[in-house]
Amino acid sequence: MKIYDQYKKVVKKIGKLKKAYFTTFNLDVDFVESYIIPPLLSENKIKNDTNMRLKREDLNTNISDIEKIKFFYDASMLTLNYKQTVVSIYPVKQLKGVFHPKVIYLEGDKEIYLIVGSGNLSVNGWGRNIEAFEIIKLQKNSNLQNQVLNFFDEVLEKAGQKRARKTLRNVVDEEVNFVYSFNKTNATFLKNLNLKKTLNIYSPYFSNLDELFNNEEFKDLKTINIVPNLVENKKIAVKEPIECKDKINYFLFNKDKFNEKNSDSINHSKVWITETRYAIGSYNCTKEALYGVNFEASIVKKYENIEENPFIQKIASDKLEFRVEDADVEDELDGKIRFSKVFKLVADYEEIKLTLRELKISNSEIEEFEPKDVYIVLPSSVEKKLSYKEFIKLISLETLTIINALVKNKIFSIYDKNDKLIFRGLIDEVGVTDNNRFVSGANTLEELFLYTDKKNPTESQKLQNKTILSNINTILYKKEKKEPQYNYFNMFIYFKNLDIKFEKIKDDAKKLESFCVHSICSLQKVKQLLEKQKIEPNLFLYLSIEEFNLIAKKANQKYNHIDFYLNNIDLKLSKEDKRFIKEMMR
Amino acid sequence: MKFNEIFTQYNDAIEKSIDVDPLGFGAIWTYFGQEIFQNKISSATFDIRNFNLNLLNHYIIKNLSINNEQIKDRILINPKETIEKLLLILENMIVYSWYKNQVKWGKSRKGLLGTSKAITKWTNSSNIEKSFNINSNFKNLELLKNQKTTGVNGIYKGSFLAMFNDANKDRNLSKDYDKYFEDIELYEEITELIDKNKYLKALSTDVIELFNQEEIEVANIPILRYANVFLDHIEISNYMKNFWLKYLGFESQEAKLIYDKIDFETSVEDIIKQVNSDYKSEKLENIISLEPKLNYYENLFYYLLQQDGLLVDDFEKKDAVRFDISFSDELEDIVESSVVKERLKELTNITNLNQFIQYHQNRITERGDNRTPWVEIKDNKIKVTNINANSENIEEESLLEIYKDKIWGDRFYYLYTVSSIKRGFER
Repeated sequence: MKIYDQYKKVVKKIGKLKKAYFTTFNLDVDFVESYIIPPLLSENKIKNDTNMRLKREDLNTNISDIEKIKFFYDASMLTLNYKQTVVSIYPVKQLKGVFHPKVIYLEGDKEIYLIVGSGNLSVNGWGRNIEAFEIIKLQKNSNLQNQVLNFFDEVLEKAGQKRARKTLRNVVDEEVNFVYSFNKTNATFLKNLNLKKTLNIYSPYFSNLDELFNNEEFKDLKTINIVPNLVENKKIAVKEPIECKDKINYFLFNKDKFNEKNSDSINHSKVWITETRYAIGSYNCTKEALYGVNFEASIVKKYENIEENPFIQKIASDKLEFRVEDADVEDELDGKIRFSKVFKLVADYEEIKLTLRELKISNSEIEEFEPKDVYIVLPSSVEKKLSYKEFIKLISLETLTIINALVKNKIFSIYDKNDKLIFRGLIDEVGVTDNNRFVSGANTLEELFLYTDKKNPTESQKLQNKTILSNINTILYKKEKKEPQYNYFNMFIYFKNLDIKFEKIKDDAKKLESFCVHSICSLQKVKQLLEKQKIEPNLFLYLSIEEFNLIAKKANQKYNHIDFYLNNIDLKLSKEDKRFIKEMMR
Repeated sequence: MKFNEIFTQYNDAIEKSIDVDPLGFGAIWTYFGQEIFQNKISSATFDIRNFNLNLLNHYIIKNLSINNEQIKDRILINPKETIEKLLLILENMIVYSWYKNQVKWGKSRKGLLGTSKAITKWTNSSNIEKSFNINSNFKNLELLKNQKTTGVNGIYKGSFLAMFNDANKDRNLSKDYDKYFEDIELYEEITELIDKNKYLKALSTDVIELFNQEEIEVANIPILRYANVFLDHIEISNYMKNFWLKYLGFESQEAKLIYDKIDFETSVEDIIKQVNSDYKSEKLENIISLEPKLNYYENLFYYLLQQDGLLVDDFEKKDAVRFDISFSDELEDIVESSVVKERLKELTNITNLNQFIQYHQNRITERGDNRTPWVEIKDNKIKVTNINANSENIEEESLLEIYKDKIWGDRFYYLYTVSSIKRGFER
């Protein structure tokens, strides 16, 4: 089964989008914007079935759809790459443990669907690992839907957002339940599974099995079949059990049978099967998941009969190598910094306002506070740290500059007074309308300059009709009617892309060399192109050159590159033009 | 519940972000460029002032390792760390000279690594002390982030090793820091060179003296002497010119001729062709024959990316699409690199689109990390899977021109580096 194909099918079935909520442990923005969001948007729904790698900025033209989509991820687990859409993504922080559920709720005007599983919103989770998902059509106002909506209300609250409603009435159902838990020790999930004599567990991570199976819920079990993942050097992520050894059988995925295309796939699925019920979700076989600190979610379903899994084969325990330590929360953190605090920074496009709040988590509730003793790095002041005092004193023009800079970069960082990074996240953009944010696709630099006399680089009609709006451009159009309709947004995006590339390769001497001098779109080539445009200087070119010079300067500082490309391009403007631009830039 | 309905399979329609050099040509032209310059220069090493600075710093360390008891002991116990720390301190000194006397240095900050960091870091005077204290940890010593590799020595290390070492020796960098001074003749040559120049002599003496004190007194850093040597470095560079020409390998035939001919105005193509007409060389002939072929295939690839959905047959029928390129001449002369050899063989064997795409796929697979190729053939049609590839539009006519007129691309075979070095000596 390919989850992405199933996902696209489901999205088609729901009809006109009303709500799309996603939770995940780690979130890869690049993946989400390339694959997850496009099928949800009405303009892209039918076409482009095979290739979802759309030009990202085009997605923002569906602003009314975008507002219906929300993502929630563990505050420490953002893969910080380039975010282009204004879609909301919220960090969630658990007091202890991690925010771990992988749940999708899709509500349209025709149907409602729930997808619950083990795969995170990343390339690995949706294209590489062996994961398990359950897809369920939800009936309106059903017990199950209520359970799911309650779950998302808890999630909203934990992310510092308003709850949608009071807790909906629901009961523990005989047939199917959506089970979730956080900061609870009453083993809700295990109770729902109705453990008796036999248990099958698919899980990549395990706590000390002797300790775990000593718990009340496991006591009557006679047989435990485990399908683990083999990790580094073919070791199993579990300490070898001693006391409960005889109860346990081990199975491994036979990758030739199941997943021949990629023999390196890891088994990341979390599936629990008892005599009467099975569960698919985020629960690993760890004490953090089952008894305590993590936020987890799973679907638990009653079944009549079940086939034997044809993709796994039994393996003797002496053929396995066990790891000395048992798994813990850190295992899944994958070397990322564990942020001790969470902040939310909201940029309001309508009111031209920035608000920063710290979210304080206690056992039961989340509170918002004005932060103290923090320093903030914003997108348009990459080098400069603002104290919170300075931050709240930003005048509206400065705020506008920052908000305008969000089309290029949405990352903000928070430091404490000892200059230690305590949080990094993405600015949440609210109040975005079709008119207060100018949008279009970006491609090559040449296209930018040929924009007027060749066909429009963007495909969508909506974009073509849109006038470019920004404080600078509007004034410019009034003053200089002759100026061709250059696409400023495209230009910034183009250079942002160059900058991203640079950041990616700057520590690799060979790649840097290629980037600067001889690749197909090297800085040297860009420079040549800009030089060519100098015959007709204008504000667009001026800004392009400013952007270029910034990157050239960085490249220079990093590797002290060859003279002729380091030199800033000099536009040789007339005095009058210089004065004009100075005024504009002020 | 059916197992094949819940467990997910590998899905190559989902891929990670893009990368550059889809045909892996970087390795090829680098090899042929370095055939001429023997790894003694790279595109990052072009500033003759930094060659001089690095040489002086290493000379000082070598001198200390012989004459300074304290340093000698340290080197015995922990040679790698000691030498690395000394290099950082020495690199910081020239920055300090600029920092304390910006009036004198004026605009000449360019090429001095670390000055902008110094402005922020050294506003706190205790940080200044730490930047020159050999007992500081690396983080306190470094002005630049990871200065060990991004500082002058880091950038010039490869070139220095290639210059002063027998190319066949096993290069263990930690040991090799001072290996070139094992050659006592070379050390004497450098000592003589420095002793004979009053500015270099005065500077090195002062710095060595600084290290002979218990602790480096920041106030005693010879800021003016640094400026004397490195501010207007033409004089010193001229003085060092013969030394560098010898060790940078510009005395070998092709490299010397290129050095003589090169300027910023003439293109790589013209220089290589001109030099080759004066002095027939296989190394140059190889580049002349290689470059247009690489350029054609590279452009063909980007042209291919514009043909999403086209039938393979229709693509192959196009006049500008040719798969008859052979690299067998160049192959004969490859002695060392098996990677380049294999690539050229593979390229030579291409006779159709399928093989061309296969070649690209092989390069992508080599990079690992489950990457997927940018283009593939599906149902006998071209299927572009990476529309984010940042490429220029290529017209069929210009593609044909590249093929017929053997037009060169922008690969520079290190010639611009040479011209920068030359300019460093002459301007």
